[in-house]
Amino acid sequence: MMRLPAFTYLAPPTVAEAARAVVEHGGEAMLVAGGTDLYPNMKRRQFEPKVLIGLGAIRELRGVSGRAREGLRIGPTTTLTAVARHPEIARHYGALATAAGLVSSPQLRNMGTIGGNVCVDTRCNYYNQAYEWRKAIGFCMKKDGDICLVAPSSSRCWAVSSSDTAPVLWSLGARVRLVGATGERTMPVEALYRDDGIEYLAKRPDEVLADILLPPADGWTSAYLKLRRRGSFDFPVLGVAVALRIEGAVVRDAKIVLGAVASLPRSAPAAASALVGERLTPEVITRVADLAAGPAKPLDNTDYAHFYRKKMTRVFVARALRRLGGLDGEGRAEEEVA
Amino acid sequence: MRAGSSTSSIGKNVANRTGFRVVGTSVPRVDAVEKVTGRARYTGDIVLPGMLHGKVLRSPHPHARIRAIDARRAEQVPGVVAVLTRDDLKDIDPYYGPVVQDRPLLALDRVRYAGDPVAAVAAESEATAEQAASRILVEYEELPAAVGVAAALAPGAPRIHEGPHRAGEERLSVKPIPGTNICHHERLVRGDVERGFAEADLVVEDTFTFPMVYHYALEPHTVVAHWDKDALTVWASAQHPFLVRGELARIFRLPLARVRMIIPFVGGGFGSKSYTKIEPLVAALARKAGRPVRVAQSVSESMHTTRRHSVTCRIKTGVKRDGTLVAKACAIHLDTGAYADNGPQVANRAAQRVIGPYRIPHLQIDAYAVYTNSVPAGSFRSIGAPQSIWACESQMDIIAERLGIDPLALRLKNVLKRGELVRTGMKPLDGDISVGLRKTAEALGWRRRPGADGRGLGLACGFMNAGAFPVSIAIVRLHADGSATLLVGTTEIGQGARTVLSQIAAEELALPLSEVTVARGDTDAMPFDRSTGSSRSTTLMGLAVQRAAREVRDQLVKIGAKLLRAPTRAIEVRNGTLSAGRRKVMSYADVIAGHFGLPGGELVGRGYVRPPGGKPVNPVFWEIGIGGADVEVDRETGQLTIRRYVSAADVGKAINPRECEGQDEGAAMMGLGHTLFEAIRYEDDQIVNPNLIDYRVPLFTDLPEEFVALLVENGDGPGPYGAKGMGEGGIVGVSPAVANALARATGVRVRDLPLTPERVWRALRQSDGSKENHGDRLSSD
Ligand SMILES: Cc1cc2nc3c(=O)[nH]c(=O)nc-3n(C[C@H](O)[C@H](O)[C@H](O)COP(=O)(O)OP(=O)(O)OC[C@H]3O[C@@H](n4cnc5c(N)ncnc54)[C@H](O)[C@@H]3O)c2cc1C
Ligand code: SF4
Repeated sequence: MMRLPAFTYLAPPTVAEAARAVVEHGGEAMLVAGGTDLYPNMKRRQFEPKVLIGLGAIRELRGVSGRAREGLRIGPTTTLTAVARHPEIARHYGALATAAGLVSSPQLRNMGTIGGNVCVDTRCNYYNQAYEWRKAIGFCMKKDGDICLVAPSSSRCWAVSSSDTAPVLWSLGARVRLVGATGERTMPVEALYRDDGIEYLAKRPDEVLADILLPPADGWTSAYLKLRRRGSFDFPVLGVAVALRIEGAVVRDAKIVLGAVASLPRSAPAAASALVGERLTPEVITRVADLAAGPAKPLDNTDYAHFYRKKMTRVFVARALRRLGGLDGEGRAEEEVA
Repeated sequence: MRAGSSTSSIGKNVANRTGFRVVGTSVPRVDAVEKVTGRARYTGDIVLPGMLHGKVLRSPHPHARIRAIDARRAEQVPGVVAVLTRDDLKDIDPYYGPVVQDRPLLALDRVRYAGDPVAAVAAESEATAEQAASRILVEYEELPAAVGVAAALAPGAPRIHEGPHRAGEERLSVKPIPGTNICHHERLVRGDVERGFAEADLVVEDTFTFPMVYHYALEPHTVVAHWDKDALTVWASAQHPFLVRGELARIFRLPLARVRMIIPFVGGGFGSKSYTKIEPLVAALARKAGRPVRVAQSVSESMHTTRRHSVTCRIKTGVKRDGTLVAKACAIHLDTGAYADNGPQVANRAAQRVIGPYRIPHLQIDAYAVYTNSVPAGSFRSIGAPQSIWACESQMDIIAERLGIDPLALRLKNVLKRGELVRTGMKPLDGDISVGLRKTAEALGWRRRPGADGRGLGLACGFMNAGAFPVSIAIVRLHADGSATLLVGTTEIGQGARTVLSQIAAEELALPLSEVTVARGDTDAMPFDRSTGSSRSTTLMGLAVQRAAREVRDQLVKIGAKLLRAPTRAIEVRNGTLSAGRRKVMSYADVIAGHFGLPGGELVGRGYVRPPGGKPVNPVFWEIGIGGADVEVDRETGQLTIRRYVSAADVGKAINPRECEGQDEGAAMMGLGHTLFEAIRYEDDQIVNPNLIDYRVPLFTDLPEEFVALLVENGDGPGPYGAKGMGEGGIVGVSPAVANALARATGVRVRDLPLTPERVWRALRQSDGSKENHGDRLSSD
């Protein structure tokens, strides 16, 4: 089944109307931004909304404003291309520009939005398949079935959070503003995620992601590394986001967040605190990288075996730290690093 | 390629290059503008009045008996015109296949792989057809399945074909092993292999595996079929239209003259569109519907239509201390899938190609094409070669290492020389492999030793009996205005055949390229051509075009001599005119008008290429492919980066050097696919990655940083101007060259493809002797 089913498309002009429209259509409606995630999923019948509420016409959701000194506001329908190319983001929130620029391919980055990337569906080898395939194999609980094909004894779904920007936003201390039919709330981006492959977002369907808010950038540097099989197009099978505030060669503050290792991004607080007060020496980096690999609990439901992905967590964290500490002497052209 | 690419010609030019006007120059493709502006029409662009859209229902089971099919619910869907099931095939011969006619156009009593076509729907729209297809009720009785060669050869394995089947048109003597799933056993013996091993100082034995891979032609299989009373017209993305015509005529019991194949542009073939694929099914559906039907498959459907053979190759080689090869024994198992398709021939080629271009007195090669419950495997760029050369050339480096001999020196020591007998009954070697090897090594900077920088250089070479069956016929028409049309059955599959054939005709007719047109492929108008594949078209069809054009030129000269009142030997042919001295000049148009006595008429030339005495020379030429890789290994991740790739092709004479270079680049890139990324994976008897997100073809970001294409031109090919074919050779050396480079950089030998970072990393770790425990499965491939 590689054809879009019929649906009604609404294009409300404001966020409030969009949220109300979702409520009006009950369980039948879904929000859509660039559609690069949702439309392919609909073709595979992973989502079957009767009504789509397009966010493209809502002006208040577009564009980047503010300065790095006070913090930036990114409108969720800003395309990934625009985020990757934004000079202020590239200069002060380097990892975010890198992550946005590493999502899929240029065509998809031109359509795909950062809001959609934050809310992108979780992935699994047994789920991201054509309808006929899933039918032949037997449906799993994420859609149309009731067991998990990766972990048959499990009562939950382990599909993997596969957003490139989510771990970076978390490491940068970003907050999100949600606007629903009955009110709005602002919270840290990490509060948006749940440890469940099916209900992976802690938000109501009518809540529209209305702002992505970055804190002031002063003193922070950041890096993002992505593991995938090819140099482009592929979803991450591991993402490592590191943000550091360094003063006179000493790390004052650190955040390490891993992507694609669980149903939500995973932070590595023990590793991060082991950095604080330290200089980025090879010994410190090795120790911290070992600690950071702890929270990575990948399953065998994406590309590469989980064992390898876990081992690579250590390598990638060390590389990100070396890069931020200026220890990457050979100057290898490391495309993945900001 | 990122850091630029270069071509250079080496070797002497037998033909005097300055004697050519268009041959030997890199003219732009004649269809370039049409293609980049989107005006080029492909089969999928064809719209006929009343045309319906077809969708195929495929089996979800790898092996099952069909108890019943109930199509009523599908027939009731508004917009559905016809549902084709096995009940509609009773008055035709539903079986086809190039070597063994073992494949029904729809499953009859049994399905043999997950994806086997079971029924098809024709409806007013594709969406309707798709929806209706899903409403067909099929009652299956599941049978034990054998996915993979090991399962199919296990004692008590289910029999996939009860056989015997009729032989197909390829006239290969098929040797099945009765009572097993082996559909063909190919054996090659020379000397006494046991004696050879006894005489050897070192015997090395290894097992290599090569994954199932998919061609990924940009355009999936697409067919439009139209019946007009008892005449069938089929538009198809087919590489071998005349062979498809033959199958259709036999299936529907029609004379050849009433089956017409029209081949618009084809969006890539690589063997996936060789022989007959979905044409009979679409024709049968259109027959039932009584209206034209179009079937345009998705990538996923095409991945369920054909693929390359996965192979396990056990190879044992005996060698003297000084590096002289003395004996080789191989057992090659090829997973041919649910139907034989071209499998027996692939096994035949694998058996020949595993030997390598080396002098080996004692041989025993066994190749087995094995039926399994998976997608049928068929032709794919250089059949059987990448798989067997992967094994042969990897092992050459293993031997070199064991003996402490430089891998290049080991090859040069054993490589066949020009004119040397390859095997009795075959054409002696017609190229110079050692020159190509030396040049490739030089371009890599071979003398540089593997250093601490994690870089290594690797070499590999292969030679393939190429050219397929040498029958090609061309017609050249010189029109009243002096322009020319070529009628050739060669399919333009993106390889640039139209350009090269135009260049040959323009050269012979002394016309500017813009005055030459290649007519669209149409079996009603074109004379017969055996096939497009096996690197044959420039050589064989090129020769036919050259002969046809010369026949026209001879006529022109004869007529012109009469009109100009000059002896024929005084006539000079240049730039669309004939002249005899400065004062006597006539344009071609004048000559033709003078001949026919009115402004009209045309001259027609025919060019026939056929094997002398009806007995084919095997091969038409030896295609030589040499690859060299400069690889950087990231020891922490296992990631390989190809810093430079060198590909050398012996082309005899490059009629269009840039096109040759493009072929070599394309072939090498395709080779990088199965070397680094690609593998069709089966789990629970289903393909788990039948889409382009999870099946990973190389992308721009994965190309080598630098690509060097070397063209060896000695003017020694059997084609026009001493050309010989190319386009396949570039793929064969990639995997062994890269793996050999990896081994030289790290000391680690990997015998399975693709060389994913994970696999390389595991091999590195194992060799580091790390004792770390892990209870995980071996690999994600
Ligand atoms: C071939 C391919 C490769 C890809 N590779 C990558 C990759 O490497 N990395 C990666 O991260 N992603 C990848 N993607 C996924 C996708 O393209 C990106 O995540 C993209 O950013 C999604 O944005 P979108 O605007 O298209 O989202 P949409 O498809 O419009 O929406 C995705 C989800 O988010 C919800 N949503 C969107 N906007 C809002 C909002 N403002 N408020 C509330 N909910 C919202 C939608 O309801 C939907 O559930 C890939 C996709 C494809 C098809
Ligand atoms: S983790 Fe289990 S339940 Fe979730 S998508 Fe994969 S197979 Fe389905």
